[in-house]
Amino acid sequence: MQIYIMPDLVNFTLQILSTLVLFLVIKYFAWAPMKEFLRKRQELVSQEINRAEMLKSDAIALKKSAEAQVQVARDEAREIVENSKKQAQHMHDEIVSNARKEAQQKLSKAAADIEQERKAVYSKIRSDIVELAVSSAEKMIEKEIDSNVHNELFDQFVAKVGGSHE
Amino acid sequence: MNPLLMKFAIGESDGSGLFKIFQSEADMNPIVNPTVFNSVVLVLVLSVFFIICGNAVKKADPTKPSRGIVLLLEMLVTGIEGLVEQTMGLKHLNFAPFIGTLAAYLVCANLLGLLGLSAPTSDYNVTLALAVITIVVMVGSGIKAKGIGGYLYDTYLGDFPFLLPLNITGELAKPISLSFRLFGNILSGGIIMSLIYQALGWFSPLIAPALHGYFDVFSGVIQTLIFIMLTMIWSQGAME
Repeated sequence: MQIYIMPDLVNFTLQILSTLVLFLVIKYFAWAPMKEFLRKRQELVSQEINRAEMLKSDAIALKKSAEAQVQVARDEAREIVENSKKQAQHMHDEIVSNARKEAQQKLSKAAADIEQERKAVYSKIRSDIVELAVSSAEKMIEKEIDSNVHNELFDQFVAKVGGSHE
Repeated sequence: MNPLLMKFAIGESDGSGLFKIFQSEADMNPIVNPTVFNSVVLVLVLSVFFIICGNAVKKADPTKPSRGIVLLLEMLVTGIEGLVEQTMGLKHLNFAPFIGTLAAYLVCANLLGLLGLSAPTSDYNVTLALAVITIVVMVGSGIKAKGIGGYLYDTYLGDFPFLLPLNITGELAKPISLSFRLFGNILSGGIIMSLIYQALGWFSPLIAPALHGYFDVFSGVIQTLIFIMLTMIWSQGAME
């Protein structure tokens, strides 16, 4: 095996030149395109990050507005419910008072009817009694009595007997 | 079969098989060493490879993950830039292509022993040339950063002028240590490997691979790392 330890100009220069050639080739034909490639990728990544950031802030704004809308809707619903409750209460009161009034009217009418009926019945009973008394008196005295003349008399009698029924 | 081709196919113990095809057998004292010849061939192969890589990168889509040689180049570029950034700082990132060239060339050159060829770095011409380039870069960047006076003052006098002789010795030692460290490591690995091949004969296929792993792969990569680290540290030291 030969050992090349003594440097000579030809080999040394050849090596320097080939190293320089390799350096220039790598620098301009590989390193620069690769740097450009990495820069492009970096740009794309930062663009994507910016876009994502923007989308995120948009989404947050949308969420906030949606929440506000939901809040408004909730308030409106509560208002509607309260209003309808109030209205229902009002209607309820009105109906109840109407009913109460009507019942009162009906009650008083019924009372008047009853009174009238009672009066009618009473007068009928009285006339029946008068008739009965007249016919019984006729039988008792065996004599025709003019009921028309003596009606008044019997009225007085009945009034005396049934005074407590008036 | 052509005896020259035969020689190349079988391989020679000194690993110069490829070279011998290109010279006549009568020419026993070639002007160009086979190691330097291998180095030039390696540079051409690497140049073609990197040009292909660069073209692939130009066509590649940056939105998709890199694949194949684009990924290989991306790993080299980002790896070397990370190393340069760590060692020299972000503002000296323009050293990265030079460091990357040294790294790519030295790894391939040191691993050439695995192909049965003599490693270019086992020739002192090659390592001296690389060391001289590194020293020129170091001194040049120092002068560019601080001016000739500033560079010379900071390097040789500095805060302690009485250390001048030591500083001169240290600066002179830099190219020598840089070139001889690489040369000695790779050459001794090659010598030990050829001794082992001769000693073991037919048994060498059983033992040699593990030793190749140490002397070629491990040693080669470590020496590459040391070479580029020293280049970065010295250049940065010259500029600070």
